Amino acid sequence: MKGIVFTEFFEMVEDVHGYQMVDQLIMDNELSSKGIYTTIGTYDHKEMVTLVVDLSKKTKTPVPNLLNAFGQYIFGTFEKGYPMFFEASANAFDFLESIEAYIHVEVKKLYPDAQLPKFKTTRLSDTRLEMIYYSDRSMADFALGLIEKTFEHYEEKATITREDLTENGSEVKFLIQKV
Amino acid sequence: MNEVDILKRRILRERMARKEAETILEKKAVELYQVNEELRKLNENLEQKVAKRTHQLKQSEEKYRGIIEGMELGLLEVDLNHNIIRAYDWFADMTGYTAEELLGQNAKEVFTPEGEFNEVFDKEDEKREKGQAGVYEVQLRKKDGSLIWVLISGAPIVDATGNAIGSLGIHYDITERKVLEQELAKAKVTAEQAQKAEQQFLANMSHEIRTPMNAVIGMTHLLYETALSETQKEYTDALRFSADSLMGLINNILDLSKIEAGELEFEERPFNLEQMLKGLQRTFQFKVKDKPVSVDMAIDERIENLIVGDPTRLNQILTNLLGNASKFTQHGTIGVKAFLQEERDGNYWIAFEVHDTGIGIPEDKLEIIFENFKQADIKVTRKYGGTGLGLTIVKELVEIQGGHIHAESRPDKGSVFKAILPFGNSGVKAIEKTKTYEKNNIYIKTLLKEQYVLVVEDNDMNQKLITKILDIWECTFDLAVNGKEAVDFTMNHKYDLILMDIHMPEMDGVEATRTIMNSADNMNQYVPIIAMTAAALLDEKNRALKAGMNDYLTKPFSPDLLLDKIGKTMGFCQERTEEEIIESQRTTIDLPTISFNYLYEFSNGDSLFVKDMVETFIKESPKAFEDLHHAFEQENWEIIYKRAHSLKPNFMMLGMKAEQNTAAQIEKMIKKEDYEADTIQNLIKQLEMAAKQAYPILQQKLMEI
Repeated sequence: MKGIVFTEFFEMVEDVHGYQMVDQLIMDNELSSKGIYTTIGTYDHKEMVTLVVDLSKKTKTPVPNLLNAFGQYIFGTFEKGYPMFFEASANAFDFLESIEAYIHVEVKKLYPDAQLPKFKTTRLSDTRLEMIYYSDRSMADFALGLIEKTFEHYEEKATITREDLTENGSEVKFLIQKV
Repeated sequence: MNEVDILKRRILRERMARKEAETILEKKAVELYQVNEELRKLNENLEQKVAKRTHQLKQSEEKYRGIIEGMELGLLEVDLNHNIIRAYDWFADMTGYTAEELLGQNAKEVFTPEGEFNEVFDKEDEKREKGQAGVYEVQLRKKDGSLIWVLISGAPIVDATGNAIGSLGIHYDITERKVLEQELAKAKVTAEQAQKAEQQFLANMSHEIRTPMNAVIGMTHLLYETALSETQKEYTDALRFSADSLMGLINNILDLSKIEAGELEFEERPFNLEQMLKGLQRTFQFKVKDKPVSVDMAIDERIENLIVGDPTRLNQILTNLLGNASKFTQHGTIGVKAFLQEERDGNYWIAFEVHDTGIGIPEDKLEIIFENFKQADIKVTRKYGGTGLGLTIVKELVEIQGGHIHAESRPDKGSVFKAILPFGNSGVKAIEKTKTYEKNNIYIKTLLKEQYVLVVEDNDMNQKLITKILDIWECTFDLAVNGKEAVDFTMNHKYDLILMDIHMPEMDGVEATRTIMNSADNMNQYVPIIAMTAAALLDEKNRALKAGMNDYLTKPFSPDLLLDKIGKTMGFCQERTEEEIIESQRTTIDLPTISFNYLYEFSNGDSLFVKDMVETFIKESPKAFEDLHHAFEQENWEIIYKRAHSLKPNFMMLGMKAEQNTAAQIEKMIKKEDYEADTIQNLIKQLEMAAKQAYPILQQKLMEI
């Protein structure tokens, strides 16, 4: 997993709970990285799972909620760091459709070792989009957070219905209805 | 203390993270360097390839330029402002400069300092801007100031994006060709002038020869009007024959020169072919009357309409061919067959076969007989005469009209000349429109006595000739010696006819005609005018007709032709259809037959006595008729009887048998008292008419005594 996810995660934790919480998470868990992350490095995905689960325990907040919040949080970083991707699309649907076809292609060019989820989008009508999430990491909630922020970015509104297609959450269908 | 530990740990972690990041970055930097190196190597490789290809391309270009230079073609590259980017060696040689001297110079300023070809260059520049090539000719100034003509093939030079940045010109020195062209043009002008001069000479010569020939022929005709001894008549015949031959030759030469000058004009009018062929048959029957030769004529029945073309030229062609046929045939048959070869696009292609049973032409001579001044054999010229121009003219006349002619012959068996010519189809049945003039010379002469004629002629001999003829015809006339005098005359007298020469000093005939016709106060404004022209050029005739003259005569003319023209112009001839002419031919044949044989026998050949008797008849008989009419009014049959009785021997003496019988009939009827007044009156009228017709004939005969 790309280092930026870890650094951003710690940023968010520090923002909400202070660096003390970040220090606790590092001290309380066996991390092969010893909690030392750089945005350009690559780290074991399991460390993230460990950190999220421990944070859930410490803050008594369910994991999905945490992932959702994290998704929303990291959107801001993307928005600031990669504005050209947002400018390339005129509205939220176009943007969501461009993730798989365009943004992830570009990311792969920059980080050939990045492991990215797959998305399959189907425009059901002018106001309905079906978006299916595929990933062994099962971080659909994280994706949902990003999707929600996308509509905010384009100043649009939508209701998003979630349907798990597998038990472990590796395939999740989002039915997005623009309002 | 706890917070301090946390902070310490945080700083440691961040330092560690930075170190890790630095390691990653350094690793990345190395990777980047390696990738860049690879890229550079690839680029170098590519550049080498490009350089190699460019070099090859240049070599190939240079090769072609070398070839072009080797072909003595001068190459020059200029930019859009005509500034020289590169001048190749051959071009430099061509213009007398070195390639270095030319570099950077403005081609237009160096080679065309006068700017005389700017228009051409501007046009070419426009083409180059559009990416088009062009070929043009200009004159360039060499370094030494001399000029050369070059043919330039210019093509645009374009940059990588396809924009024109200049042009490449391939120059070919065409100075020699140009000089040759100019010399050819000069030679052409000279040749044309020479030809014009020749034509002018021929026209002048024709005029100069025709005027005295006019007198020779005219005077010869007048000689016949005098009393000639047998020997004198023989000499006069020879004179006339020679004069006619000479005129024929002059006409032939003139025709030929007109053909060569392309000045021959052809008429397009409907005419009756059958009638023309019959006329030719009659003419040649007369010509061969002294030889055992018959003249045949045949026409294809399918040519039932009037054909459209030039009857004069066709007549000329056939007369010429039949003339040869009659000349070279001593016995047997000559003739012409006309048949329809083809009917195409509404045109008749008619084949004319002129055949004879004459001496024939050897096969190897068949080709040359159509050439100028060539006859089959030099001996032919000695024996049969001729100029060798006749067949040349025939061939030209046929070919100009789009036809063709060839000959077949077997020596001693005869020849066939076959000419095929196109004619229009008038769509009018030949018989329907056939009209002709019935000529009755005696009738015309009688009427002419009552006419007042103005003769306008400057030439002494011609004056003498024409006035003599008019004197014989007892016609009243005035003589004007030029156009100006003629106009003066017409202001004072009313004339019935003017005979007008064309070429005259002071005022020519055309101008005089215009003056007379355009003055409303001239009492002769509407008088008929016949032009007399010495030049046989159609142009002259057209001028005369355009000026408003009614008809024209080409000098020299026979009295008969003059009478004919006067008769037509004055309306003395009746226009009749062919049937009417056939119908009336009996009357024509019944013209009084006159013979002085009785008188000569009676007087033992005393011509003075004959003359006296005839003159008495002419003088006395009108009085006798006056008496007859008078007596008839008074129903004095005795006087009628006496006069008829005394007229009878007069007619007898003059060989007028029919009239003698008519007089005897009147005599007898009155004696028997078996008559009706109307019958007598008719018979008297018949006699008087015959007498009146006889007077001019008698007078003519008197002159022969």
